[in-house]
Amino acid sequence: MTGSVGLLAAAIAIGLGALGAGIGNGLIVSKTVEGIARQPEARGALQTVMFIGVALVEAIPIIAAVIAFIVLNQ
Amino acid sequence: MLEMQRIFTRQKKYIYFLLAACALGWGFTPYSTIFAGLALGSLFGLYNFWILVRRMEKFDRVLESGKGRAGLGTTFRFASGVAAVAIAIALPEYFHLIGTVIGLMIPYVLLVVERIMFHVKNQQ
Repeated sequence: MTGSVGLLAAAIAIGLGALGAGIGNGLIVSKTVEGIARQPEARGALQTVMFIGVALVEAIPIIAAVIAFIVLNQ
Repeated sequence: MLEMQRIFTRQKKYIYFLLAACALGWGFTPYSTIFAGLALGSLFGLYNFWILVRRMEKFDRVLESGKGRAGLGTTFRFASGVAAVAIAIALPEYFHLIGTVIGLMIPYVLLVVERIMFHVKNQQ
């Protein structure tokens, strides 16, 4: 089982990862919605870029969650 | 929307090729746990990608109608990543843990490579 330092490590890993993902996703979605409101005809292109951005932003927090889970189970 | 579906279809195609390679590696090489882990991870990665496409379409519908609210399904993706690793931790004799984590990230790497190829092709 994990000691208290391991628990802290897992909490920091998942917390900071989720914080980064939250800020990043928020920026991406807000700018996309702003862009669609300004230029509705560019919606398809903007959403494709948003899709790729969200996918890439979330790769790191998923790894953080996985690492936290591995640390918890050691 | 069509572009997103096209990206997802291409991803599926690449992952099927990868799964075939993993099946060969699992059957004919001594590193069967690593290949099984890669296959497991990439399957869960593809599932993550599918959730993302579905949620994006829902987001689009909500944006169009102007009412209601839609999330991006982040919790589901975190949970499926953890589920893949939980399977690998629970069955270490079948699945390699690091292989599973690498497999989980394969769709993202493929996405970047596919986009770079798309831009290089369309530039000329």
